[in-house]
Amino acid sequence: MSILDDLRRTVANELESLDGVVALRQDGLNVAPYLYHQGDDLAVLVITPRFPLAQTVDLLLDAHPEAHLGIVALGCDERALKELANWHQVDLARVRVIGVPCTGEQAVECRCGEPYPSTIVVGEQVKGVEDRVLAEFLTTHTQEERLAFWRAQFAKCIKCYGCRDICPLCFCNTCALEEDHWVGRGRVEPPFPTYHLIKAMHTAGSGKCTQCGECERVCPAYIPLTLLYALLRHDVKRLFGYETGASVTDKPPVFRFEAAGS
Amino acid sequence: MSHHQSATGGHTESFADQVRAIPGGEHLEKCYACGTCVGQCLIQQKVEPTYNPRRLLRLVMMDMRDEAFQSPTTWLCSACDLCYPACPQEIHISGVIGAVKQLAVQAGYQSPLTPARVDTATCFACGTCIEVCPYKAITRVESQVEVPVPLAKGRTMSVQKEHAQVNPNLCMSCGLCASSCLASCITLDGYTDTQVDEQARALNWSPGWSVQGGEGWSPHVLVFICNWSTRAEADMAYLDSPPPGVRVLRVPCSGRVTPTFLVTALQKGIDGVMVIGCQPGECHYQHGNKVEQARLALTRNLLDLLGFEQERIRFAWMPTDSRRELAKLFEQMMSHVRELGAVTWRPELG
Repeated sequence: MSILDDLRRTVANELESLDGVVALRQDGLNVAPYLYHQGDDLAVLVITPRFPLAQTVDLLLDAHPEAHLGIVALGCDERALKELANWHQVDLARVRVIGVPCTGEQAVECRCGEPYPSTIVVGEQVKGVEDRVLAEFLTTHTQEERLAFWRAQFAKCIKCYGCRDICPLCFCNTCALEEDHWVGRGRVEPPFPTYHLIKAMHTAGSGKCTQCGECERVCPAYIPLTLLYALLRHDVKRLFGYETGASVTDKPPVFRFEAAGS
Repeated sequence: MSHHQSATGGHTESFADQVRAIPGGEHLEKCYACGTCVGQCLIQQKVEPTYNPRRLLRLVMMDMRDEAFQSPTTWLCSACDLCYPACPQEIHISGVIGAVKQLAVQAGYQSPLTPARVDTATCFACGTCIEVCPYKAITRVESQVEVPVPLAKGRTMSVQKEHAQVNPNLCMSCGLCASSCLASCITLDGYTDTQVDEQARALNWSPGWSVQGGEGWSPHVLVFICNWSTRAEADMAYLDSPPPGVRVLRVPCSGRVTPTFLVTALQKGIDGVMVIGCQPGECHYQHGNKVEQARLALTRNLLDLLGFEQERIRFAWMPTDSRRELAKLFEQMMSHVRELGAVTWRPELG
């Protein structure tokens, strides 16, 4: 029995008591999010390549206020759901997590410290990866080198908004990154550092970054966004004691009025 | 309507009895009208000369209900509690005023302040403003809202949705909600993002200002200062004519300042930005200064990660009893920025 067969059987069982399960579907060469219903052919259900499904669940729950949905979730998907709950965007009582761990290979690719959800229905949990790149960046780069590095990286930005659009935690209806007086509409490349600083403060700086890495994966300019956000996540934890998606009772740092320990 | 029937009927309940019955209003009768509270009060000094907690407490004792309800004292107290430690009778005066305000609202009176405004069409009810509001003036409600139809310019449709709602009688117009909302769905008139940006653009920097540094460069510093953080006449006069190279923007509370305000200023070629708020424990709006301090700590960290000099952004406290401290603060900031040199953030004049 492969992991995928196990998973398909679990999803079939869950569908008996749920209105639907959100997972990926393979259709020829295309893989896309899909809402499976009872009786659907589950042979097309796949778990690669990865896609941030929490956002899809959020949209579906909004569109169907009575529905109870399952989600085939990786560790970062579950963290995203919890974080969405902290921001009052998702009602976790209406979501059942069907947890799938990432493989060791995937964990290395994402430099992920926690490549598994809190409960796992199939497969084996693998250890998180210690992010050496992250730990070494600040010690190996002086301030001038950091500036040169980020200036060069962000000079590649074509302002496609891909990083924002894919982010499972970017749920605002209006976006500061489209405000003319802050970032200059229609201006490419966008002002450095203002544009990127607003983006960072509104995601990782607000305690929203689950480190799923999607922003970096979709970036057509290969800007290493996860490096910046991982560093900022570290600061958020140090200053406010907040870990994204770790709990559903914590208040995100923008809700707080005191730094940790003050 | 000087006396109201009490719930038990028979005898009448005085205004003072009603105030005492509300939690916070218990210590009303301990006041012997010394007026120490008035001497401490920033509202009386800066905003409303007729503002007077001592008089309000007298009005209550004398059963002058309508006069009390119409008094600015009832509505403008922000519970900063500067008067509380000064009161020889240890009366929690803002608690008493809060009790009077509660009765005034019950009697149909309304706050004269302009409350924060929610854009219900774009608000997504995340609750940031609800958590951060010092006055618990914001709640999450569900109602029928007109929202734009996607891709159909100018057309709207009616949907049932959750959004934030401001109680206009509790809102004290500090703007902390506006600076906390990631999508600017809640704003404070006079201090919207656009208005602050326009004010910053309209600042009259000295002619011949060289944004590129080099020959003839001198430091330019923008100061955001809380309206309440200065009380000495000399300091207020100093703010009206700051030294060359310094420009001042006043905000209702240091907590209204978002990191974006500061970074866009630096982006435009201003060499340093300082935010001045009230000392801890003395914030006019309870915790706006702490929110700002925490926010700026994170902003400075992020700037450092990006390789920018985080020292170009500074935060300072002003104790309410300080005299002529501003000149020192400004001079420190200027010499600090002089050492850092001209900002080189791809400068452009906004």
